[in-house]
Amino acid sequence: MTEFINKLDFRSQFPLLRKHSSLIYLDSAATTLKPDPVIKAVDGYNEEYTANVHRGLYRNADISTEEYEGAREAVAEFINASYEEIIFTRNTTESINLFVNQYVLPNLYRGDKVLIQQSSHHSNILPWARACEQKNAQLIIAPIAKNGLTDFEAVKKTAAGLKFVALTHVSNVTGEILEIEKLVPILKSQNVTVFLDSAQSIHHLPTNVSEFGVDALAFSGHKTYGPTGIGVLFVKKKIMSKMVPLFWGGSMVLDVDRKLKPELNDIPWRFEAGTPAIAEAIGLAEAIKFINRHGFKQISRLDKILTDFGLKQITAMDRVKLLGPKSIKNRLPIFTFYVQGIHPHDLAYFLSECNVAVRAGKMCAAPSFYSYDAGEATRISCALYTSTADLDFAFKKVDEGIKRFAKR
Amino acid sequence: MDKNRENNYLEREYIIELYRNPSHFKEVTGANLFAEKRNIFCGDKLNVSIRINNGQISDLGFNGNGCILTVVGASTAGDIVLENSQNINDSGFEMEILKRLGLEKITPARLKCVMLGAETIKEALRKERSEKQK
Repeated sequence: MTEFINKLDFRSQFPLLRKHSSLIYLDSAATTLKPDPVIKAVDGYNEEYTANVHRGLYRNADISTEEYEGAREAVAEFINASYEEIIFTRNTTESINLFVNQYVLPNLYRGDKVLIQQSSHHSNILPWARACEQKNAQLIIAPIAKNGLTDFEAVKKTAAGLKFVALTHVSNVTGEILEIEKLVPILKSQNVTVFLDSAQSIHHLPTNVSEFGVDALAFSGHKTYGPTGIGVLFVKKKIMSKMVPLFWGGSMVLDVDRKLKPELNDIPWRFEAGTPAIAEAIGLAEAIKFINRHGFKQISRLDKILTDFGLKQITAMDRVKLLGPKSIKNRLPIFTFYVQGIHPHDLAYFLSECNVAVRAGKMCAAPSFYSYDAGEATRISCALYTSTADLDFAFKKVDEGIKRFAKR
Repeated sequence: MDKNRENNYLEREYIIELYRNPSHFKEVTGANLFAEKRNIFCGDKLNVSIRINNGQISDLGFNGNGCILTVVGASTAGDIVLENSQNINDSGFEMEILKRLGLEKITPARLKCVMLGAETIKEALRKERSEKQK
């Protein structure tokens, strides 16, 4: 197993890991590191052909427009959507807020039912909760069951009568992979509008919006080996054409008449007012190429090895309690855990002193923690450049921390 | 990165020892001042109960969970307050806590942890002053 990972030598493809050869980066659920081609693509725009898009009539303006719109095509192809169904945003949070504010809110009425998951990130909870509050709609929360998975039966029971559902493909706390292939058909049979947060799944699992049957989906560039400042909102054409733009200004109109009445641009450009994140979109397209080069078959094999290794290590440790499913089948290598007698910030600080970068806190997903009746935790999360040796070292250091400074 | 900027508190036995056996983490009988403070960076929360006799703090006790720096900071703040050696509204109070713990170079984010106990005591006394002014 370890040989398989070592052979791949992913570390050498990431400049940050070449520069900091002893760093073990285990905070990939927060943001992934960026491989050479992504950095080169961003630099390429800034160094070789900087120009605004959709405007200039000179050569570099053509190149930047082609590259930017090429990025949209790359994203569409990556998730099996149409080109016009891709809106570039800043990040997943902005994507969700855009969808909720411009489509959900105008179509939400008193008494309507909206389902969210307890295990979602705040960004896939708060916009929905606020919309329900504003419209006196009913917010239903699918709880986390005792096995650490979202209570599937509870979702099924509420399916009839729901208007909107906000799902999370992979939890950023428990690593749970939601069985959307089973769940979405049930919801769609009830005519429910289904939104999917793919922020944590997009670089681990193949995404096919048509097979998934979702109406809208969001993810961020920076969690998928791409740059920060670029996000994606996929919305089905039929739905997007009914959405009113949130931001108004340049680019999103074709013309403005003497009475200042704007003639809206086509979808999706009417949702991208102002100069977009050009370099970042181009970087995201390179990140997608990077993922495609390695392929989901290889990524999935690596994830399974890391998940299996991590689960065995963590469940064998004294004083350590893992959140989420214990089975390799339903999860990705995202391990959030409590250590009895150690505050997660002390553990994260100690690991940092050992050159291991992890996250401590509630991972912007406080409701996930209410199932466990405890405060903050520590999270180890993996990506392509993670090896079993990295996990082994990190868990050994957790064990050392327990021995050195845990409250007895 | 300067590894010594926080004086690596985990390598100091006296800090670990104090964390495991802190002073003033107890119930206070006859307490007449109470306050609660939260560390905005991490959500850690401390409650303090203070007993005042004849205008003087005669005992205090903390309740709550926190990281090592929160616990040792609160413990030390309690010591100083009961010694009555510093005016707690003086900057010297915080400096004295840091000096006793050898944490003068702590980063601003972790300073919040060290000072949570001190802030909780100050909050209780502030509340008392504003009650008196009513």
